[in-house]
Amino acid sequence: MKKSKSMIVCFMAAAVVTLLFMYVYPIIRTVIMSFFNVESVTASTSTWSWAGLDNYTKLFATSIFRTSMWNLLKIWLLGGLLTMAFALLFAVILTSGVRFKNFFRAAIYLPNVISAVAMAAMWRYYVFNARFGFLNSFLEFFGFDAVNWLDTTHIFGAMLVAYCFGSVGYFMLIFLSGIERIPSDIYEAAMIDGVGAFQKFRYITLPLLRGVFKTNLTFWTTSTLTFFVWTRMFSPTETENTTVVPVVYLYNVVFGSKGVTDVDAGRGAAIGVTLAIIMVIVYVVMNKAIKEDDLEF
Amino acid sequence: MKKFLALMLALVMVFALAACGEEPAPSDESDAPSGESPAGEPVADNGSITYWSMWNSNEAQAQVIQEAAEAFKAETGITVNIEWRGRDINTQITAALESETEIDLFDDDFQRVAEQYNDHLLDLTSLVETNGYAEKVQPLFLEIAKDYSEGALYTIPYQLYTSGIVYSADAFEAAGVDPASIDSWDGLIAACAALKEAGYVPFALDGGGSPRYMYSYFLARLIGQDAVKELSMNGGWAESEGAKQAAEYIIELRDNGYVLDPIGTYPEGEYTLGYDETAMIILPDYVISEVINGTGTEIEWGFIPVPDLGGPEDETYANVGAQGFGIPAYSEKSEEAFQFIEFLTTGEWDAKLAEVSLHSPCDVSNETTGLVAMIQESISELTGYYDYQCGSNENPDIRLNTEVQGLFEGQYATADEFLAACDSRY
Amino acid sequence: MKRVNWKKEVRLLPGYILCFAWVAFTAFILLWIIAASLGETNDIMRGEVWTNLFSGDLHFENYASAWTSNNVSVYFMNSLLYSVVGCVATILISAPAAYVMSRFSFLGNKPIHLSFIIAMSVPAVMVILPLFSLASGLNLTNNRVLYIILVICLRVPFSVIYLMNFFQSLSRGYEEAAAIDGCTPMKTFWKIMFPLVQPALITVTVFNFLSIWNEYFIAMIFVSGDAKTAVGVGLMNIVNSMTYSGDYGGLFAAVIIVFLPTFILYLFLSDKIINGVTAGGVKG
Repeated sequence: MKKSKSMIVCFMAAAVVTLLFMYVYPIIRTVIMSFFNVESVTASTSTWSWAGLDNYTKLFATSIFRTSMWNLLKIWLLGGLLTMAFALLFAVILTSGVRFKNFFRAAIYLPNVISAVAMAAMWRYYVFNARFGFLNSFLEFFGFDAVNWLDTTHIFGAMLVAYCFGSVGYFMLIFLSGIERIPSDIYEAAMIDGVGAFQKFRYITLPLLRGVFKTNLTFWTTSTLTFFVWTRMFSPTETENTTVVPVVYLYNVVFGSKGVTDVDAGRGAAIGVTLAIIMVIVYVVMNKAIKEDDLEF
Repeated sequence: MKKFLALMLALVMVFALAACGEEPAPSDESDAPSGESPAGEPVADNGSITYWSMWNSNEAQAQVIQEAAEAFKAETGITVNIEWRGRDINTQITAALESETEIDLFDDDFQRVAEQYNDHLLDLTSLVETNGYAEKVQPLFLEIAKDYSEGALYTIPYQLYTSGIVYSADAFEAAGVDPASIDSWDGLIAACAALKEAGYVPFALDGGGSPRYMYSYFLARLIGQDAVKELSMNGGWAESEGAKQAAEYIIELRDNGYVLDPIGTYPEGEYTLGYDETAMIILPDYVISEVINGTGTEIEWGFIPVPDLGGPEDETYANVGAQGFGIPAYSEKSEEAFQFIEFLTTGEWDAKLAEVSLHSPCDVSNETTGLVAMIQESISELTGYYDYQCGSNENPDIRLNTEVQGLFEGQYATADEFLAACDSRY
Repeated sequence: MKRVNWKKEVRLLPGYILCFAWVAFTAFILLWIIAASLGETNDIMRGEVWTNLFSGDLHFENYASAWTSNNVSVYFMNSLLYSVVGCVATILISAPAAYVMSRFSFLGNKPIHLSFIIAMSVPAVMVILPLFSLASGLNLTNNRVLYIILVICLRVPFSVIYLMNFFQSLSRGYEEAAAIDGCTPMKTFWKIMFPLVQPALITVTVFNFLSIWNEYFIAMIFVSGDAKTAVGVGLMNIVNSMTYSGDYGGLFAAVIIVFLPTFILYLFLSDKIINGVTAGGVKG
């Protein structure tokens, strides 16, 4: 196929410019800033003083940052498993010939369309409410004890479940489009060979979804790294160890929080850089682990 | 598909044109027809100042300030252009100040103004002197403001609040509790018992900072704020007699059913006061207007300081706070801005603001009644002040929220277990 | 109408049950939000939203006051402008780039690809403030055009990555056929390849629209004045002032108003998504 250099340049130009303007410049500035002592994010560079790796070493020695990273890991791993499992499950169910597929698809995605602020408010004031809430009413109806879902032992799990519920639809759609792209003749051939439903899933669907898995994993990682609104809604007055995540800590460090007026943009920059590095690591490892060059259909 | 694209492109062009055109100005109500005072006589147009406000346009304070701005214009001819930036102003203001955006005054939490933004602000000491401002207002807050910025004065405080035991006078009456009797731990416990008899849960709790607030208050009463700061920074909770005593107080309250169980979340926990289920809460007094706004309750309120618990700091110490105005150093209208600040914080408008927000007026000559009077009086009797969370916020990286809330939730059977859990964080 | 194959339906029963349960729960919580929007704060906090709904004590004025005195109408119009313009422009920038990156190997292809991936995970906070000091130096703050540009830049990485996946799966036979017919590569793209990924374009536009519609951080910094700000910031402002003004009914009314366009958009366009990739054409 002809490779037209002018077309490549023409088509890429705008996208590359957005990259440079929006990301390369600020990221470079942020990375540099993370090696300096900077108080306010918009301070002019003349006020910066060299700090070397200080921001990073102090950051990782900070107990609340470590807690936030640990929370992040739990969200990514546990939440990821939960969300992907349900997303895949629904995608498979919807492609296995159930009726009302369009309706289900639209309905399952619906929570994603509602703003996180509203969803979080609803979970917090209604579903998890210890006295009048939906879950506790449900439990008491069946004779179980009510649970205080928002106390220190349960609040993280509650937040995670709420978050995952609102995320499943998105990933289900992507899985769906992946499954639908698998040509039906493969399935027909399998049926002729007498392959059962479960084996069909395990040996045909799953491997052919590798590319889609990578897409989903990438988006999931992005989403969890920038987890913010949910923590803010579940812990509105103070930053709590049970729900803190890196971006919330970053926000506190850069803008100050209640009763804390020390801001440290250098440290904030270090957090940003750390998160970006994690993203790169995940992406690289994932690409090495899941190969799909042998697929073509 | 083509038609769809064509339609979209057309839409884009229409919108692009609209974007370049004029914008609606929905909240710019402070632009009264120029040069006309309400009486219809022309008033000199003495320019305008820009005020970035931390309030949201639909809050009561905002409405009063809006009216005040119009009255100010009638009186002085200076137009006040107000931008309602909302409570998140702290995320916008530093960037705006750095880039010397046109702002002549703004407000935010007064500690933030004095400590965090001070690099960009005008030292108001001389303006205060020339206007004789200091004599008109509560001295304590100006002192605190100066403490925050090591002698210079970068903020004029207003919306003054203090903290202590906010209580439902209705509940106290029903239980036959005399607020004056709550002057020691024993007095407090006796009141709790009486309240419980009368069918109330004595203490309401909010999730979030409120359990720690209560604990820290007791702690500061027992060992003094400086010692609390020491514990916060370096640990050593298990060795502190005071920490253990405070924890045992909480356990006593909890075991007797004197605190809300399950602990309420914010704001539901504090709303129980309005629903006549609980009787007291230890928080700054802004909780009162929050509860009134959220529940529409009409109960009578009362306010007393947290009692003396036998430590170095007695009931004349309290956590106080305020919002504060600041004037950027680069502003060329600093005198006009200060004039407006004085307009808002003294006399008639100060009283109105105090009334709608249930905070103390700044102006010492403003007389108040009822609840606001109680608060005003409490403020004027203070001899010392606590930081927010009474010193336990000193360490920005180690906050014992989870542990203290766990203490209230009943996760630690003894005070020692709790203290050990605290120490394990260091 | 096909005859119902009961054996098949029974086999699929577990799937039905799960789907119904999930959807029922979603409907339930949505109903709750609507009921809350018609109620008062008291009802919400005390769990009496349902009794309020059934007793017919409906506070429709929550909507009116949200629309006017809470300025939701302004936020709404602003967000509409930003979202529509942003979506169209994003597609026009991303689709060509995605096509070229998925088809050709050229200098910088892989690094740019990786850059887009990294870009997606950068928290907006870190990126925006350096840009803000740049913009304020040029006196361009509170400027609608700049905000739209930023919002586009924010969506391009995601759109490019997403579309690349789809372009990759298209058979090269299309271009070969077009070349034989004498079509230039650029024309080939616009007339043939671009329409072929229509379902993906629609999906990505839906995602972009939602994202821009609910966008918060950048709007807060670049168009924070009430007249120009977007729905995301507006909603957060309402939530913040909620704690002080106690109007939770109004909060949920605002939420419903804000959520309706995205909901309608999704319903309207989901048909297109369902129609799937073009059948026929050349098989690879």
